[in-house]
Amino acid sequence: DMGVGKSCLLHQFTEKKFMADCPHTIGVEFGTRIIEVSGQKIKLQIWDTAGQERFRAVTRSYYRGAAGALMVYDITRRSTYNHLSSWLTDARNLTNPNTVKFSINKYTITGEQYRVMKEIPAVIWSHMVPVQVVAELTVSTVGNTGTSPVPLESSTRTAGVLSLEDILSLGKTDNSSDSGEEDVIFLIGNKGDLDAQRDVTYEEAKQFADENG
Amino acid sequence: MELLQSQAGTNTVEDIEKDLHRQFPFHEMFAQRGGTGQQDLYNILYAYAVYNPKDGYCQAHAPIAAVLLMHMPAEEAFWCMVAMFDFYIPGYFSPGLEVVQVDGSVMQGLLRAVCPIIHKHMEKHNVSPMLYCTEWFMCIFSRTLPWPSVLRLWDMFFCEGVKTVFRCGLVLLRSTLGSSEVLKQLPGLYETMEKLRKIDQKVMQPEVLMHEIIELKVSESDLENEHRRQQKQWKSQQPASPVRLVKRIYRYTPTHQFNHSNKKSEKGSKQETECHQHKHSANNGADQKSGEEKQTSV
Repeated sequence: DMGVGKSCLLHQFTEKKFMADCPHTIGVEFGTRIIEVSGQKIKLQIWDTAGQERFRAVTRSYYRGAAGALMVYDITRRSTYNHLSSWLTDARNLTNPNTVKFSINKYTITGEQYRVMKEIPAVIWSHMVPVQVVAELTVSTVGNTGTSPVPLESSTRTAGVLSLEDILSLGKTDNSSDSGEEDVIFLIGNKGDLDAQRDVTYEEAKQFADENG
Repeated sequence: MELLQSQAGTNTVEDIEKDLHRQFPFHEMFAQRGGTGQQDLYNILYAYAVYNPKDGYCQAHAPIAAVLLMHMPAEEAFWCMVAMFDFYIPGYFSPGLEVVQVDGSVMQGLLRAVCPIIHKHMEKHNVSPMLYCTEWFMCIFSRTLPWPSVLRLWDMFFCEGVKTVFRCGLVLLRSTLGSSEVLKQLPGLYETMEKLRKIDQKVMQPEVLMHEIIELKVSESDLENEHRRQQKQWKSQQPASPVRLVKRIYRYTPTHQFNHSNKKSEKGSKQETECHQHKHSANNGADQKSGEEKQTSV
């Protein structure tokens, strides 16, 4: 859905930098990063699609040929989580069902996991892609017209961790495309730093993932 | 404005609020969270969602409204946006984006005439125009070109309509991909798209770009013919699609009737600051534009 942080996540992954006020995507964006899987360099191409419903008309046609997908929701907005199933249906319907078997959510990355990972010594951090999210504790002033969100606090900190291992397994499926082809869909609960405003629990997300693959 | 008191579709407020801080965040007008710039932007976007409930809020409205707001007060910007969407690019923001998709095919068709080698390359690698055109069209290049070029292009757009947008797109394609040496180095869709993401800044400078756009041999009737052809094709492929033949403005004349306005504003926009450098909009930019900005009693 819109505003869950897809482009921000991609930017973080490709540039290793957090981008505040990331412009919303109109149409499609792209990102590339070269990763190494068992000594072999693989160019990972990531398509970043617009989140607003009407752009699906445009982006849908590009699901075909994908080796995997990342489905992102915002842990502080339940509606974005509730819509996951419709995105999943799209993804399933629009990829080639004969050659593709989905296994969903090998990894659910949420704030909880991040907290565990935070204990990991700094050395290992270099192998990870920290997903930084600006803490936007926003309150809407009274009423729903003419008011804008007022930031209470705005700071940048590391929020979730998308470990390179996760992406590697994505790369691996890409690599072993001739035998037992399997596409991977990752489920990412973004904005893990806004844990206080959490609306979707980790367990729920895990259940969703388990149910669907 | 009365529109602000009315109820918009579900999630409209939430959706708009998510985008407010993402429009030109480095412009002083929009830098401050909850500042007057962002509030005006909210008002325009909300009012439009109420004004046109069928389309509602589209994320591409935001950059357009923001550019207009930099040049005129909120209410005028709103009506200017309405005029743009009604007469210049009608149907662009509908829930199925049908018109934009048809225009993508029009672009492809024109590309075949203007630069056949690029057209061939695009077809070969399955590069659909929607991959590169969507943002160009829906934001009228406001998020693509360097700022001085945005202003110049918008001036031309107001004077001459949507054909400027096509011409600009074709020029960018031609100068970025228009040689067989370049195309040879782009073995696939992805590489081609990456190349188009990084258009040379030199090409996009106003002095170069505007000249090329003016020189490009794509006439109104070329565009109209291609448009008609593609609409027909779209209709035959998707008979249920709500796209109908639309008449778009190519040149503003004072005889255009705006049925939802009571009186016309006398105020011109500040956008003509650069017009004098431009032969098409040199003398009449201000007059033409003021006709589009309507004031009403809302």
